[in-house]
Amino acid sequence: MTSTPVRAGLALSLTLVAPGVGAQSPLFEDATRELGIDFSHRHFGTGRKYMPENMGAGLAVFDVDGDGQLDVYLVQASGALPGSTGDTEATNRLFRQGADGRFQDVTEGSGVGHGGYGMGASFGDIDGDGDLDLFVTNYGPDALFRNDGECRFTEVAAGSELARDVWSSSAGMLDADNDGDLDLFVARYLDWHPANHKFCGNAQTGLRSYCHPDVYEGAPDGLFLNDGTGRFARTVDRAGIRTSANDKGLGLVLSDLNADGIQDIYVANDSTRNYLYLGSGKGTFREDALAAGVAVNARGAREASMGVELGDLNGDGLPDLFLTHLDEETNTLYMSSGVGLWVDRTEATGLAEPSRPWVGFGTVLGDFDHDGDEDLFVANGHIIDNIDRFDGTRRHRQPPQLFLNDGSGRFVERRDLLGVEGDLAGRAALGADIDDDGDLDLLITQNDGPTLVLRNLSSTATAGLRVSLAGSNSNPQGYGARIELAADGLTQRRWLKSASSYLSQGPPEVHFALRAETAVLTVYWPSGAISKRPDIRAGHHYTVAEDGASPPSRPFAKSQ
Amino acid sequence: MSRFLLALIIASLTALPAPAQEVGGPEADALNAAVAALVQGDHAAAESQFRAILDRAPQTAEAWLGLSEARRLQGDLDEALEAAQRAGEAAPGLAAAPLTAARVHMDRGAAQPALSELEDVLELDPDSVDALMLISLVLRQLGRIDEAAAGLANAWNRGVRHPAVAEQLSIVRLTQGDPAAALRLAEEGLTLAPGRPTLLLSKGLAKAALTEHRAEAVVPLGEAIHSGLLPEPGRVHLEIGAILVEEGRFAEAIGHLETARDEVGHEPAVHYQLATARRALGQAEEALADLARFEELAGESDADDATRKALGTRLNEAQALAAAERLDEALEAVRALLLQNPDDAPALALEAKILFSLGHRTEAEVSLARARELLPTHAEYHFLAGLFRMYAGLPVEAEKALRRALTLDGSLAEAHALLGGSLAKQGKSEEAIVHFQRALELGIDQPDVRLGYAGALEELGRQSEADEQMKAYRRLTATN
Repeated sequence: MTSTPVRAGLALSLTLVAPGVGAQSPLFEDATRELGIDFSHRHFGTGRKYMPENMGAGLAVFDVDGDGQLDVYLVQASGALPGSTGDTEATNRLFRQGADGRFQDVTEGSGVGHGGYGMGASFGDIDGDGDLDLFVTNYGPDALFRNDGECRFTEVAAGSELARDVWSSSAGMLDADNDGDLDLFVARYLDWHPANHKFCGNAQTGLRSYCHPDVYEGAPDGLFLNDGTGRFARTVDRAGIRTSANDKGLGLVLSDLNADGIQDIYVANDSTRNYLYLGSGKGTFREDALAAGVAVNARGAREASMGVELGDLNGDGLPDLFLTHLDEETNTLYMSSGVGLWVDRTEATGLAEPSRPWVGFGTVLGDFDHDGDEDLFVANGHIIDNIDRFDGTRRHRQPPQLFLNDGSGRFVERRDLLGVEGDLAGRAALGADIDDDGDLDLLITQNDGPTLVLRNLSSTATAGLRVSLAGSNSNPQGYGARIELAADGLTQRRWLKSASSYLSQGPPEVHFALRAETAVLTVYWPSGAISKRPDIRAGHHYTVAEDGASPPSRPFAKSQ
Repeated sequence: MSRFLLALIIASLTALPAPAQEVGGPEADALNAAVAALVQGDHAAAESQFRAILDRAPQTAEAWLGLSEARRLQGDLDEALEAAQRAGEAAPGLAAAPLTAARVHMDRGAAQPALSELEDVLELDPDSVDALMLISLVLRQLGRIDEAAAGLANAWNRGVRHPAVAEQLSIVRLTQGDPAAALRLAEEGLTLAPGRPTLLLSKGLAKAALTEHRAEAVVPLGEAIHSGLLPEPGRVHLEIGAILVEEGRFAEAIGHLETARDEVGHEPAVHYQLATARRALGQAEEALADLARFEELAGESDADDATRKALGTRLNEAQALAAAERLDEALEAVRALLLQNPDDAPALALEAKILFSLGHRTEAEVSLARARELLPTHAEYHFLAGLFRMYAGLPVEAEKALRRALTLDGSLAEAHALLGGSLAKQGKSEEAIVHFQRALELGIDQPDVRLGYAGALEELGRQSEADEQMKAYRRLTATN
């Protein structure tokens, strides 16, 4: 817990480094209606408290049609669970951004108005044809949509191993075997089905609640290797991926976590130990989370992990992991303490006490205030929608949280800067420059509630830039690359992730704030290649090509 | 902050010192000898010596106090209370008399009479630190943390600058989640009593809970350990070790963690922290050994957890059947569970409740007795015992069980309500009123409570208040 004088002191220091952010001026404003994203998640609960109802849903933000503007795909729980009729009209929705910056629902005719009981979404160019294909996780068979590049998709998973009748949560793409194409990792949650549904709640009054995941066994995660044409084959046992009752995966980060140049997998498990699969580069992995210090918290305790994010929070060049958890636990920050070793520094960084009352799900690391370090956003919302009837001190809808980084990896909560009134049943969250003005906006989904878009206002004062990659020897989007921006003796680092947060994937690009006139950009590709690009300036979107044929930068649509 | 450490520090505060005996006058030597016997733990000898003094000089208040203490320590609380009251009669202004009586009431689990005696102490001696400490303790046991804090803060702010007050208030602030205030109080307390171990511990825990001071916590925590007076220093070593690991001071952490391992080696966290520190220092083999031990201990915990959760699910199902009044099926379900786990206390308690509902009261008592034997500190089981006894027409027996329940959990509203009923049945209307009031404060607004409350008020001639309660009773019965 931080005392008021210290909070005030830190806040003052932040206003000094970010002069555009006044002490009382919100950093964000709710722009959902203005942008035209009219979507509300519904879980179609029957009152029996079926487990999948309270978990969804996720989203994906990417350029569907290659027009340079970000589009938004939102997942719906449309398939009916027993006892519910569902709603055939309520499907996943695709919102395409127009030239005026407003979004239009273009689901009809796109082929992605999927009607499963949706959980999450991920994307990547699985067949090397230059456009982004879409993978949707469900309670029930997952779906894979091939993109024709013009906003028309074809579902191709049906009948394949991808479409098993299981409960998938987060998914992401990585080149697990270093063959240049994108493979697929799917985290799976519980072995729940209506036939093994149990009563949880107050047996004396008959009041039901959602069960703790301990009541059910987990569902084994899946690694699917791509044959180069977008066809996937499941490889689990021989790949070193665990298959046990403890596999209760929700969150996922795919990146090179131990700085050996090879892609690794981190799975945030709900109430069981988290997994860190260290890659060999040949499609096989070794689970090492316990020894690496990222399986359990400092007390050696398993936590109810939901979302996970990756970033360099203290500027030491190494990736740190932040995880969201249940209330009465804390969220946990595993800070890198040398290559391949992490230490739980949640208490020391000011992130423990502010998180204890809330149930965290989606989480985003990003330089929201453009001061050169990564800040933190957490979407909160209790799992049990009637929790107040069991405990009057808790509530379903909870405040989202924004934490500003002081540059050393210590955080101060600044909810006043979020510009959101009221609490949310928060689930997924993503950072993306949705209005193309050079700063990170926030997209937040709710369980059984509307999606929000919070527009970042900081670009009026300072400038940012975005970087996308075009792989040739590496995978097409450069997933897993480390990108560094150096200026004035300060180096900022980002990892291009295909999965993070909760049930979601943000655009295949990274964002930096740049206060110097120019900077040098260095890309460390998954293939081992290194690209350097000098004379980087704020206000632009750069694309760096691994083969050296980088296109010219594009200035942001909105001037800064 | 470690919740265990907080519990530890609170536990250390409950061991309050025995009342100071003022010894003087013509029987001084005899009194001193009797007090010495008491202090040495020879309670029977002390008792006979105090009695001898009282035979010679029946108005010696100090001897009555000594006798009270000797009898209290031997478990005869009735006589202890009577002796304390005699001390008060012999010396009406002697604050130690109601203080001693309060201790006896506390031993009986009678919180309200204890508080009443302690208020008498404060009337005689408003700055009595012993009374302030005991009031805080009783209020905390009743779950009235905010009142405990307010009383201590009031004393502290009006100038009762005693280290015990600072210590107690600092701990209360920690439990209230206000480590900044806890730190301030601990530091002020340490200016009055430098090196006082519990204050050092409180200071360390408060710093550990404050992000900007967390790294500094190792100093006061280390000093607290060096006092040699902490009941379980191993746990404090673990706390220090964890902070040092967090700060990347791995080599320093190892020493603390090894000491913690020697003292609380059954804690998985010790081995986990040791593994982290050793791995960071490149001691790969030792780190693996620590991790293996962690796995072994945590694995045991996981297995225990899994078994407990499986039991919990089946118990939940049995409870659901009972709630649906499918009592025979519920009994069958819980007995099936008990066949596999005969020592599962919650299952035994549920069996007792079902049997009681089916009218098999003797069998119900047997199951409940076993549950209480297995989990003697579980308040609900004592409450159930009180309930069964009330139904059996045994209010005195019920009172004992309910007092025990409330000693364990002062916020058990149902137990307050039932105790009110038991006391009212025995004609103890004044005390009954206190418990009815408390039950209402805690949210149990049932017709029976209002009716019992009204009856007790009427018994005391407080007719208009009784009428109010009857109105409330009628309102509830009308809506129910």
